[in-house]
Amino acid sequence: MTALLEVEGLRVRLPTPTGFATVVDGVDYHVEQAQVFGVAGESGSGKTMSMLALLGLLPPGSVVEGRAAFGGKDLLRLRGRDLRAVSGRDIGMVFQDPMTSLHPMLSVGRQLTEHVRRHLGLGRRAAAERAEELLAQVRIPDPTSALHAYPHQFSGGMRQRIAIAIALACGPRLLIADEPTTALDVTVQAGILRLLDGLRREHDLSVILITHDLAVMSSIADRVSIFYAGRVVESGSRASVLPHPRHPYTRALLDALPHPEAARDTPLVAIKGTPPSPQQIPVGCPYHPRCPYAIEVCTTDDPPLAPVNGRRLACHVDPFDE
Amino acid sequence: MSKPALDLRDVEVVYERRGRERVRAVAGASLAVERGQIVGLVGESGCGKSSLARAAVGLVRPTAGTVVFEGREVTPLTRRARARELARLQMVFQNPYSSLNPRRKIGSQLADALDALDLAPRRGRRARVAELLELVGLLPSAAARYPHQFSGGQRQRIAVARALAADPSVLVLDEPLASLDASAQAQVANLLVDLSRRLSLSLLLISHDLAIVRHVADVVSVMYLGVMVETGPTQPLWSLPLHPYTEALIGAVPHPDGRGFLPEALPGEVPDPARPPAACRFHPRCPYAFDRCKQEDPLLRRVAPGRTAACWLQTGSGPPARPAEQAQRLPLLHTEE
Amino acid sequence: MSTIAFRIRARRRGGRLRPAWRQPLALAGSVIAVGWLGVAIFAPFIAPHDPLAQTFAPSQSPSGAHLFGTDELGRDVLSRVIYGSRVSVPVALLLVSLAALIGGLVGGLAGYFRGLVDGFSMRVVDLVFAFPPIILAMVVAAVLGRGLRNAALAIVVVAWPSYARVVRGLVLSVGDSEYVESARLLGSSARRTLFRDVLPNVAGPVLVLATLDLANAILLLSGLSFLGLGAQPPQAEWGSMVADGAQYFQWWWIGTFPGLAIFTAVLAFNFLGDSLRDLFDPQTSWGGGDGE
Repeated sequence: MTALLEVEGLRVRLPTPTGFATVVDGVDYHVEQAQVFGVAGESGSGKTMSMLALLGLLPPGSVVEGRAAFGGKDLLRLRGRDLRAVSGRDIGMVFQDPMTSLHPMLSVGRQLTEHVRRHLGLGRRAAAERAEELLAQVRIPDPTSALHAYPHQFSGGMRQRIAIAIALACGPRLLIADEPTTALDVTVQAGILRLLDGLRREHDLSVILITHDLAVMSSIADRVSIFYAGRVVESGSRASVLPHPRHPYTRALLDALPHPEAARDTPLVAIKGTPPSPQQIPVGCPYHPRCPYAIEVCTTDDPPLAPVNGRRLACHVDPFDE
Repeated sequence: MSKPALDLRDVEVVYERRGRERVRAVAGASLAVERGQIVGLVGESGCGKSSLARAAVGLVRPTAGTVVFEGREVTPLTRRARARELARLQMVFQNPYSSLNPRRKIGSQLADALDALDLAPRRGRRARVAELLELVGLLPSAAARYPHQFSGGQRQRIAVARALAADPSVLVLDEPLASLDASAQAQVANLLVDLSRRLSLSLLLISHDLAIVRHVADVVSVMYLGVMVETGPTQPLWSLPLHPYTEALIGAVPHPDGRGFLPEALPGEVPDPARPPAACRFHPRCPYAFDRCKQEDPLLRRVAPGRTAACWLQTGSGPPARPAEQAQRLPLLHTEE
Repeated sequence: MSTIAFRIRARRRGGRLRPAWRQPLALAGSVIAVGWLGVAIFAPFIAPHDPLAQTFAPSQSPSGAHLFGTDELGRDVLSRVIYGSRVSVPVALLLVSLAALIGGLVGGLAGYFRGLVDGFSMRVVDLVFAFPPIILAMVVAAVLGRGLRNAALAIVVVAWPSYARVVRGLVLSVGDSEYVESARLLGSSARRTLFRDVLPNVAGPVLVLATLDLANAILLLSGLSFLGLGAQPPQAEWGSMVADGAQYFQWWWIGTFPGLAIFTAVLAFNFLGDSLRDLFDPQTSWGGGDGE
């Protein structure tokens, strides 16, 4: 079965006052049908940029290399109307802050119908019906009156549901959600995660979930990919990577988190140092300055992402080999 | 038994808005922080925890109730300098990007307390600033730099250092970890616990992140829509929550163990604090609500040693049990009343 | 195999974003503004002729002897333009400083004391803002009488409220900021935080406003002189020279060169003000630092 989305050799360089900065440096991954693919990493790891590249949302002056096969086309080579046709219709995107991703001056109904009419060519009444349907799908109470309301009249969680409705309006096969629950309270977050899970099952939808929160990823992702300094350092199924991380960075990320089920006095281990800025990526393995297991070769050779026991790992040492 | 270092009783904080209704952000909440204790105050948006924190240090005047710090009433700030006796009650804010003046050097900002309170002779200030920076794990050279040269985690540590300059006995922290990434969170959390133990510093840690609070706090207070709904020592509260909201909060926390359990969601939305539900504020969303919940407001009452809950399911007779279990005993409860 | 998928069309070549102070407009603006300042200072050494000296060669078109030509009374236009800068630029500087001082004081007090003081001063500000600036300046200048000094005073009256608004806004917002709250909790009085925390944050925006205002001041001053309310003949001032030029249209050099002087000076200060604004904006210039 071919993957829904297959990304190969993605490289993104952004213009800065001191020359180009490579924010994504050779990333490969694939997303299957009806699968939630989690992309985790700290800020600056390139996880968001790698998604923006797929949708042509990078800042002017950026350079993109690689291939992104989706529905028989290469997303990275689409331009203008062709790109908009795909990005608006076959791929939906949900951003972190529903306050800024919804238009404050247009009614919810208008934002939904506008989208639907442009891409699916529905008439006004059909579009309104579809809009109401979508709002019901995302469990907005009283969808009929919600159509006439404005974003500011809703809470954060509701707004995020509306954003999801807009993203799903044209029946996309892939939904990219960038930190969709980061700004939300924990019970509201739980609601959104359940909603995404339900939608995924009902509509055979694939989801790319970008987040820095490994606990969120653990709840809903089928496969996960850990980003560091613009590349993937570990990827595999959630059920094997999270309980048994093999890359020191993944392990460190998990050790820094308070696990609700671990003993209370298990210490939280901070990762020493900070992630490198794109202009100052260390030679060799980009993680080596912060890695307690680094050896000589880590300082000179960049480990390739290689298959190891059913997952992919970019590490010379593989210290937790079980 | 010694008095608590910080004692809030029946505090009410009301915001008036021109042309709009009054909002009781805090509608009668009580909280005590003992010496050297770490108290975690948890709750979601709209529960009033930040307003309570601000009232606790005197940034806002409570419209009812009392705030007592080391036996002395906490008077709100006026244009004059804050009362000296309150100097040992300090606060650390949520946003490390806005809690430091971008145009002043770190050293200068850290020295504010030393200046205002005359805590170090002019010549000794540099040394004291260096000491404070080292206490929070930063190099003394940081004093000559500006905030924008530091990361969020480092800035938060600087904010802690600044508060420590006043040699506080109680530190109120309003969501100090919220804007930080996982590693910085771990660092700052560890620092706070360490400082608390080393300096016998009491902490009132306000956070919406239960997992961190579970890790750090000795005692947890849960707040919902302006009132306290449960308090108790952390571990017992976590393993045996007494209030349905606490139970829901715990169930909503995602686990990073890779097992793929979806967290539990809570139906409905937090009501507008300006128009809270009648009687028990949680009843519209509570899976166990029954008649009494809609008629009478359950006050926070002692259910077991060290544990309080504001719920009609917990009447204090018999051993404490989870809401679900108590709900099953409901017909019995009714007859007992 | 890595092939470049595409290069998103950029404004600048080579993948480099130029920092604010390297933008050509800002550079040009600064150079011209400083240039005019220099001309104003060194006028007696630069001007080839006495600006008031009438010769027997009236209305000569630009030539070797008179680069900008002569006006209807035979005076060298170039020298008059040079000496004109002595009027426009320093007077503008002075009156902007005065307006900033007065406005800053009013705004600062309003933001600090709030309540009645704030209410009253802001109503006065609103009152001044209600009038179109040039009309108000004209009225005040007319009431005070002709002359450069009265014109300058009129412009101060018109200019100070902007500073009051800006400073008041800053004092209020900075005063409510968390770092000021922290300082208050640590024992600083409100007055101490005003000087330590608030004022340093006020200086930058006021400077930017003042630089942009310089451009306005030059324009207003020229405008008033053009209308006969400012500098009086025979004083060489750009605005009145343009008025002259309007009368003697066929001798285009009489009005055009002073007009160009006004144009370049105003534009230059605008560019300078813009680049100052970018410089002060923490988002644009400084990148992330090294920290620890």
